[in-house]
Amino acid sequence: MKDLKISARQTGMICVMLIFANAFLTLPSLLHSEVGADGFFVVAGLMFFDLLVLGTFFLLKARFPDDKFYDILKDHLGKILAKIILALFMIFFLFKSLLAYSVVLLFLKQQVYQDQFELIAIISIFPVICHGVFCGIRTISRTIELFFYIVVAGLVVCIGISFTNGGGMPQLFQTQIQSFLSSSFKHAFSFGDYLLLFIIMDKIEIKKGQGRKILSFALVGITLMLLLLIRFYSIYQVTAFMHTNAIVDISSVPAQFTGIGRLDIIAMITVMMMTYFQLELFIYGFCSSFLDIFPKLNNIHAVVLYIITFFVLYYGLLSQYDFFIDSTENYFPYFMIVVNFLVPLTVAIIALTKKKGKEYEKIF
Amino acid sequence: MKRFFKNFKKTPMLLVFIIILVFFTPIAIFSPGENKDRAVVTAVGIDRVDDEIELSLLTFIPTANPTYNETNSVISAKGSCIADALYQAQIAMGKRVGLSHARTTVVGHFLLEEDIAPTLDYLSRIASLSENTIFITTNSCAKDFLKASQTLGEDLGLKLDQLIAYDVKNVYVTDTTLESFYKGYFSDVRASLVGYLELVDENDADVASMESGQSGSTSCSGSSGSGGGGESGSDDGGGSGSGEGESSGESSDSSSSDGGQSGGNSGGDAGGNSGGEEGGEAGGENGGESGSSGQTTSESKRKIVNDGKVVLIKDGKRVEMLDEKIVEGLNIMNQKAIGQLIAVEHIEDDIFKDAKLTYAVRKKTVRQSLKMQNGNPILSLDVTLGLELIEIQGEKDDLKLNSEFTVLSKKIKDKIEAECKRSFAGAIKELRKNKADVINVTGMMMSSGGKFKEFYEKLENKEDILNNVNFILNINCKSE
Amino acid sequence: MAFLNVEKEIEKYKQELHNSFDVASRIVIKGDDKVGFLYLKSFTDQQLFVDGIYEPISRYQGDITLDVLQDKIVKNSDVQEIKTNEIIDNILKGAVIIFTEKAGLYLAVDIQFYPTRMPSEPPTSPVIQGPREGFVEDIKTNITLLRRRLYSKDLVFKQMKIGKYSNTQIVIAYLDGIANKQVIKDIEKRLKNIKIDGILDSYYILSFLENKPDSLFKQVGNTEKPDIVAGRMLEGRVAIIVDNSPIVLTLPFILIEEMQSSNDYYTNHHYASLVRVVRMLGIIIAILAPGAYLALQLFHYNVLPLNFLITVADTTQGLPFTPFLEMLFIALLFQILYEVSLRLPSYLGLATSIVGALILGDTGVKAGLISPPGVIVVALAKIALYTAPEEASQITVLQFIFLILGGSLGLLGLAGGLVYFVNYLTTLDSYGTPYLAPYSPRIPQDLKDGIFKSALTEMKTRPKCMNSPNKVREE
Repeated sequence: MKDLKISARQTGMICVMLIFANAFLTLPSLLHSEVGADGFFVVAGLMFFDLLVLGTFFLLKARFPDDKFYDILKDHLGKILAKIILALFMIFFLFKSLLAYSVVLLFLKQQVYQDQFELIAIISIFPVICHGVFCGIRTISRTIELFFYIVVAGLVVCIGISFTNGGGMPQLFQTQIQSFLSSSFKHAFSFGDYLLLFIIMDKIEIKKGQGRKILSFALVGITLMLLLLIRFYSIYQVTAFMHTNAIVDISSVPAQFTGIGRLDIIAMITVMMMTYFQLELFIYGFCSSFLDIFPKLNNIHAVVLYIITFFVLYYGLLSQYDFFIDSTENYFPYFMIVVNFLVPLTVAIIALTKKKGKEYEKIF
Repeated sequence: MKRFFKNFKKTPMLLVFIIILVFFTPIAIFSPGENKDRAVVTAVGIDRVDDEIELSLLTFIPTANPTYNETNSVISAKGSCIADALYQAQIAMGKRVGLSHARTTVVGHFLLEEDIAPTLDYLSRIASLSENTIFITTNSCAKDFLKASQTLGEDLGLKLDQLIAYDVKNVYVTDTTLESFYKGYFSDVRASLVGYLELVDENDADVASMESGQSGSTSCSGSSGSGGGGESGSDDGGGSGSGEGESSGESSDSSSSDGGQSGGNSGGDAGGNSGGEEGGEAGGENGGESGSSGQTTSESKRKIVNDGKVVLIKDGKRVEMLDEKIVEGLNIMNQKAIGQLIAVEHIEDDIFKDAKLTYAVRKKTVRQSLKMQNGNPILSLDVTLGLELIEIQGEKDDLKLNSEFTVLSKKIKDKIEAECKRSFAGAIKELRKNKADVINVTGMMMSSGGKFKEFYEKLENKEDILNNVNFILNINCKSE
Repeated sequence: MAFLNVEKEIEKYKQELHNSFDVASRIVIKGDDKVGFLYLKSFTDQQLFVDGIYEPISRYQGDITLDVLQDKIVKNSDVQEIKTNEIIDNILKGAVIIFTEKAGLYLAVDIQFYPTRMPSEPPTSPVIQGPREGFVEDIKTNITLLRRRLYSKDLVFKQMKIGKYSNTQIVIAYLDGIANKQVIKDIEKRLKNIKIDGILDSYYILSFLENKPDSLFKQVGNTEKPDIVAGRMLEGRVAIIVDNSPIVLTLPFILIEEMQSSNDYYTNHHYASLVRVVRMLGIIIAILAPGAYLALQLFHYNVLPLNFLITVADTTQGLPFTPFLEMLFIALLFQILYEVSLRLPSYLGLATSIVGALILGDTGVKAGLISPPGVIVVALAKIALYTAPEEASQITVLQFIFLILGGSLGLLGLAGGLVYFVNYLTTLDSYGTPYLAPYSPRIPQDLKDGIFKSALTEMKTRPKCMNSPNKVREE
C-alpha cells in the first residue's frame, strides 16, 4: 500500500461510494417491515449521525493535518488503547465487508446469475479488490473517480425510471418514537461507513476550504439514498416488505414498457461496480488498521489474513445468511456504540482539547 | 519453471487469468447457453383442478425460422402448489423454467372463488418474475385462455400484454399487475381491481358471459366450487390432460402440452384447428356436462374478447365483476383517465333538436378535498373536464353543425354533469356494496391525519369506510 | 607537419571496411603531393564528388589545406578536419575522406546521398481538412518539417547516437521553456542507457522509454504527422525523432491522446466533441461487446428483451457450436481475414472481401454454422476497433480477454475486468503525468481538450498535467 495522497474530491467520492452496502438493497425492505415508511426517517437519522462522524473527522483533520490516526490515538490515549481501537476498526471493516458481500451475493444470485455462482463471485471479486488494495488508496480513489459519474448516473437513472412506476405519498409519521429508536439501533451496523476516513486521514490532502467539497459529495450520496428510499416507499407502500432489492425493484419498469427489456440491468451493473469499490475500501481499511497495529508486517500479510478470516467467517460461522443478518441486528449495534459513537466522541475531545497550532488547516 | 513462477510473482493477475482459463472457460465453452437450457415462459396461467393447482406456461419454443417469429406452446402441469406444479412442468419439459420474461399471469375463473394470495405466494417470492407482470383473470380456465392467446397475434397483431397495456392506459386506467393486486390485498381494505378478458366461442359470441363460463364451457373448476361445477371441473382437468396424452403420449396427470403446438409449428392456427377437431370429438363423447367440454371449446376456435371489464377482488376472492359502466364511473375521479366518452341524449336547445351528443374527455383535472361535517367525512371532488364534441346524432340540421364551433350550453353542461354523477354514484354504490375502497379513500384519510385519521381509527369496520364517507362531485365542463 | 602515405592509408581503411565492393578510392598526383579520396559509392553523391571535389582539387595549383579546401575548392561548408578514429564513422555517414600527403590531413566532406521519399500523407492518419504532410524516413527532412512549423529560437534539437552496429541518429526535440526540464533529463538519461545492437525504427526505443515495458498499454505517443508533433510540443511534450523512421515519439503520454485526432483540431469543436464521444463509444463497444453478448447469452438471458431473445434463440437453434465457440470462431475468422488482407497485395483485396463477406460470412450463416447476431456483434466490435486505429492491437487483445471473462464469468467478470484494468491504468504514469489525466485525477483545466473539446480561444493554458514551466498559451 503505497503512501500516496488523495485529493479532497476523491475523498468526497469515497464518501458517496461508502454509503452503500445493504442500504440500497435489503435495508429499505427490512425497515419497512419494522417501522413502515418511517424507515425513511431511520435512515435519515442514521445518516445524520454519520454526518456528525464526518464532522469529527474534519475537526481532527484540521487539528492534525498530516498526522496518522494511529499516532494521534497513541499520543493521547497510549499505545495499548490505540491498538485496541484499531483492532475494533479492523473487526468493523471485516464485518462490514462480510455484510456487503453477503447481501450483494444474495442479490446477484437472485437477479443476475441463476446457479453455480459462488465460485464465479470469488474469482471475479477477490483478485480484483486485492489488486486494488495492493496498489493503494490512490489507485482505489482514482478508479472510483473515473467511474464515479457512471455509477451516480446509474443510480440517478434508476431513481428516474422509478417515476414511470407512479406511486403515491408514503404514509409517514405512523410509528412511535420508541420503535423508531429501536429500529435505528438495530440497523446501526448498516451505517458508520465514514469511519474509514479516520484510517486514511494521513493520506487525504485537504487544502484550505476543500472540506466543503467533501461535505457536498457526502450530501449528494445521502440525498441519493434518501431519494431512493422515498421513491421505494412511494411505489411499494404496503408491499415494500416483498421487495428485498430496493434499487432493482424501483427500476423495474411497468409492464407496458417492457418492450425495451428489463432496465433493471442498469441497477444490477451499478450495484456490481459499487460492490467492487466498497469492498476495496473496506479491505483497505482492514489492512491499513492491521499494519498500524503490526507495523513490522507488510500488506501481503494483511491481505492474506483478511482473506483467510473472511472465508472462515463466511463459510464457517456465517454461512447462514439469516443468522448473520440476525447478528448484525442484535449484537452489532452494541459494537457500533463503541466504534461509531465512543471512538468519534473521544476523537472529538482530543481534537477540541488541542490548541490550534501552526499546522492548523482551515479546511472549511 | 522458476521463470514461470517469477512471471506470476511479477503479474499475479496472470495467474488469476490462467485459473479462469483452466477452470471456468472450458465449462463456458461447452455450455449451450441459457436460452437453450431454459424454457422461456412468456405467460403463466393458474387454475384449480380438484385439490391441485394446474400451472399452464405459455412457453417460447425456439425454431430455426428466417422470420424470427415467436412460436409458443402451452405446457401444463399439476401439483399441490405452484412450486410443485412448476417442478412437474420442468420434469415434463426437460428444461428449467425461466419466468423472467413472463409478462402476463392469468388466473382461471374458479381459482378466484378462494383466496388466491396464498396460492400465488410463490410468484411473489421468486425474484425472476417481475411484480410488474400483468395480472388478469378470465371467464374460463387459464390454460384455455393461454391457448387462445396464441392466435391473438394473427387476429389483432397484438400480444396479450399489449392488449392489457391498452386497457391500463385507456380503459380502466388502473394497474392490473401482481404488484397492484398485492397492494390492494395487503392494504386495510384488502381490495383490488384485476383486469378481465373474456374467452368466447368464435362462432357464438353470445357465450361471452359469466354464466355460460360457469355452466360448462370452462375446462377447469375449483374443487371447492359448488356442486356439479366442481365435479365436472375435476373430470375436465383430467380430460384435458388425457386428451393431449393421447396425442403426445405423456402422462395425463403430471403434465400435458398442446400437441398441435409443441411440434414447433410456427403458426398456432394450424395446430389449434387440428387439435380442435380432435378435441371436438372428445368433447362430444364426454358430453357437455363434463369438464372436457372446456378442452373441447378451447380446441375448437375460441377467442379472447376485450370489453374493458374489471374484476373486483376482495380478500383475494372475486366479489364482483365491474362492467364498463362502473369503470367509467370510477374513471370520473381518475385524473389519468383521458379519452373517455360521455354521451348525452335528448338535447334540445337553440342549436340542437333532440340530438345525442358524444363528447370525448380531452383534459381533466381532479381536486380532491376531505372535509368533516357533523362528524362525518366528506370527500369533495371538483372535476374539470375539457370536452370535445366528437359525434352528433340528430336531425339533418344538427349534422350540418361544425363541431368545432359548438359551445357547451348550460343545458348540455347540466346533462353531462347529471350523467357523470349518475355514473359515479353507480360506481360508488357498487364499491360500497362490496366494501371495497379501491379508490383509496383510506389512504387519503390516513395521510390527511388529524381528525380524519382519528375517525378512521375509530371505525369499527374499517373495510366499510366508503359507507362512512359522503361524496360530493362537482363537474365543471369546458369546451376543448 | 607529418607526411602521409596516401596509398597505404587508403588500403588500410579499405581493409578495415572489409574491402566491401562499394568502397571506392581515387588518388590525384599533384606534383610532389598526392591527394587521396575514400568514400562509399552507394552512399555518396557521385556527381557532386566529381564536379565539386575531385575535379576542383585536380585543377588546383597549390597545396591542399583545410582553408584552401573550404574557401577555394570545395566551397562546401561541411568540410572538417577529422581524427583518424573518426574516419570510418565519417565514411559510413556518407562523407568522402580526403587524405593529403604533404599536409598530412584527414578531411571529411559530407556528400551523403541516398534516395528519400517525399513527405506525403501518412496512411495511418489521413485528414479531411488540414495539412497532409507526413514524416519520412529521413531525419533531416523530418527536422525541417518541424522547423517549418515552429520558427523559434527555443526549438531545440539534441542529437545522440544509439545502436552498436546501427549507430542510429536520434534527436530529442522540444521547446525550451515549455517542456518540463525534468522530463527532458529523464528521457536523455533513459536514451543514454540504451545498450542495443541496432535501432531500426522508433519502436525499438519505445520499450526503453516506457515505465512498464511489459505492459499491454501504450505509454509513449507516436505520430507520423509533423503538425501533431508541433502541437504536442506546444503543449509541453518532448518529441523523439529516430533516423529511418517516419514515426516520431512524443512524451509524456496520456490515454486521452488516443481519442484525439488531428482532424479534431481542424474542424468545429462541437463536431470534434461529438466525434470524440463516438470514438470513445467505439472503443468501449470494441472491447466489451463480444464479451457482453456472450455473458448475456450464457448467464443472463433473463435481462435480454424478449424480442431480442427470440431472435437470438431462433437463430442459434440448430447451430453446431456453443455460443462461446461460435464467438471465438467468428472472432478468429475476422482476425484471420484481417491479417490476410493486410499482407495480400492490393489487387487481391477484392478477392479477400468476397471470400470473407460472402463465402465465409453469408454462407456460414445460411449453412447454420454461425448465427447472424453473433456475426453482427463481432463485426460491430471489430469495426468499432478502428475508431482508434493506433490502439487497434491493444484493443484486439483486450477484446479477447473480455470475451473470455464475459463468457466464463458473466457480467460480474466483465465488471471485475474493467475495475482491474482501470486500477492498473491508474498506477501507470508517464514521466510524472497520470495516465488517465485529466479524468483521474480530474484536472479541470485540461478537460477543455478532453472528450469534449472547447474552442481554441478557451484553451488559454497549457495542459496542467504536462507540468510545463510556461503555463500560459494565450494571453
